[in-house]
Amino acid sequence: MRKISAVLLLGFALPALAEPMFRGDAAHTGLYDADGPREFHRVRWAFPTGNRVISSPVMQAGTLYFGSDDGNIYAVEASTGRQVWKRATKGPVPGTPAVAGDTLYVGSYDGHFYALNAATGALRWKFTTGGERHYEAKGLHGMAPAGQTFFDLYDIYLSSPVVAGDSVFFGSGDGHLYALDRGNGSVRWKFKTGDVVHASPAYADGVLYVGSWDSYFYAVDAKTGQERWRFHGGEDPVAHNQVGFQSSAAVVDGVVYVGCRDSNLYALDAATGKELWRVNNAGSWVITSPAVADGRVIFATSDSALFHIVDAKTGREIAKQQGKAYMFGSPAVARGIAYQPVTNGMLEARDAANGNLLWTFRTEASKENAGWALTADGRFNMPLLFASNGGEASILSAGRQFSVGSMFSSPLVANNTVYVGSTDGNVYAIE
Amino acid sequence: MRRAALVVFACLAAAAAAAPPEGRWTGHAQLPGRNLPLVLDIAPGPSGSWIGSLTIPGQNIKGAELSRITLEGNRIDIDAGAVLSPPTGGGGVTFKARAEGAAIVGEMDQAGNKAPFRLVRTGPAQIDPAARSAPVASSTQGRWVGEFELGGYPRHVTLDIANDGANKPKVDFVVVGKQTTKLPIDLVNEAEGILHIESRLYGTTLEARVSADRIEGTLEVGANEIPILLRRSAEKTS
Repeated sequence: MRKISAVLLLGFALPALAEPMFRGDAAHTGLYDADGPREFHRVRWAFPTGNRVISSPVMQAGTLYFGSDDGNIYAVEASTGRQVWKRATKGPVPGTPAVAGDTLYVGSYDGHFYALNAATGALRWKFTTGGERHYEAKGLHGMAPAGQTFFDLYDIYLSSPVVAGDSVFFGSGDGHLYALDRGNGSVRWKFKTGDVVHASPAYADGVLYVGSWDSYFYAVDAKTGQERWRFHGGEDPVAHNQVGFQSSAAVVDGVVYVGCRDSNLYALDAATGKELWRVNNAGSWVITSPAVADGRVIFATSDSALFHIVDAKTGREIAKQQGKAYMFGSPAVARGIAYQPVTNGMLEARDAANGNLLWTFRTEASKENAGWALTADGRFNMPLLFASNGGEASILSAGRQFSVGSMFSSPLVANNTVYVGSTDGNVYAIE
Repeated sequence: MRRAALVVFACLAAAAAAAPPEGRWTGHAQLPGRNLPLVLDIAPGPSGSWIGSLTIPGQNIKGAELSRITLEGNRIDIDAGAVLSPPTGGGGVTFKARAEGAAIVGEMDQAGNKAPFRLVRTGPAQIDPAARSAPVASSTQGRWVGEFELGGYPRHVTLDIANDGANKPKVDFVVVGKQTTKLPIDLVNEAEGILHIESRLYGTTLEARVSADRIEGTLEVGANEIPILLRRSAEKTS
């Protein structure tokens, strides 16, 4: 009754079943039991922040929550796009908040993990990790000189917290997976991996599942922090290009689905870590976190720009569609439609059964196409993208890519609306 | 027919001149080689004045307070104060604009550089409310002392807090190191047991949990974040 009253007061239906955390639930299925737009009608509102929005919006009681690389955490009315509050941190916030009860949890590149009053943004506590940093390696991606350490510009996310019981769990650039007391931020346990952890832990049946840039994927007991098993992804000791888990896992019916920079999507037995099947993408990273719906796994790739639908039991290909540009942001599936963000500044709506394109939204920055970063039909314009007089081509190209309003954020679907962030600094409400 | 067209044009021009600038204005300045996105929010302020804020995506500028908005006929001049003001001098962002149909167009100035801009109204104004000072818990009042270390040197801190009705509490924040510095305080408030004190001139923020006998948290001084512990002093506030 109270919920119905709240709905009437807001004049705005609450989303069904989607929990206010990354990928819509603790198991990170990417599945939203809500209607989304079957056709593109309009942008209802665009909320501008001071920098790119890599974070994914989550919703509780008609309020959207997300971070921005301008250093703020925002609460915004989902129906109007009006700001409710903002809270400053000292670093970019490219992770996705989790809201549990009346508290919001999220980490910042300032090396703190914050607990805020979700209604006001007031600080409840903050926890200091060992510090944030990007994944880095010598001669990364073949950059010269080979002996120089470069940080990875595409290590673009921070770990998004998952809440289970009285604990909140998240990974950190200091290489740990943390379990904190939700009430006061005290450490319950921390689990050490071999490198940066920017993937987001999924939770199912008392176990956390998360990968690290050390190229291991871990199952960790949520109560004790003890390792249950680990799975070894690919290694690339020369270019460090085909290594590391950046994708966050989805866990459904005892199977863990996770992408890896080694160009595979893996299906692992959640109990043992045994590999059940893999889909190889011939050198193309799998950064997206897979969505799992109706016995199908939906994911996309970076360089090869492929949108995949495979059978969840066997990995057998059901459909494969050629996209136009790298896909890092993860698909959200709502009632038969997959909403796939693309780094060329587009959001694509595809039929979740066969991947057919239903409609596309394109940011103004993508239409403007500064410096011809894109070809006329929306692919990255490689000769101009990587143009450089020196050795900084990778850095310049990343800036050029992001200038088109790239979508790294994973969409939230509710109330016939898709909410998604862009590197043009906006969060869009698309209906 | 020509006269009629001129009359219509004159009416439209008058309407544009009289149109209030209230709303959210979105567009960009055309810098050489790139467009700089701009969002201006303008709303009526107290006693006939105007208030507003500026957002520049990509520059970490979100809801920065506009220090001056002047209207004269269809002309509007805006000063964004220290926004994007280079530390070496040269001046922050100003706009000199005029209404032109449904848009405001003009010239943006930053550090002596000038670029044309064009903005269109995209919705109602959303002025970012500035953080406000508020009385602290009565138990937080009094004298607190402690120390922190910065640059290898200990600094002694004396913090005196006293509420002043509904006004900003009176705060004396004195740091004694190689010299004695009394920080001018811009913002004081307390929520959920967390005390927040800011001195913008010194780029210093105290954010700390208050308990009966201690204030424990962090002191941010520029890019440094330093743990700090203050204990309640037996001395009375001077």
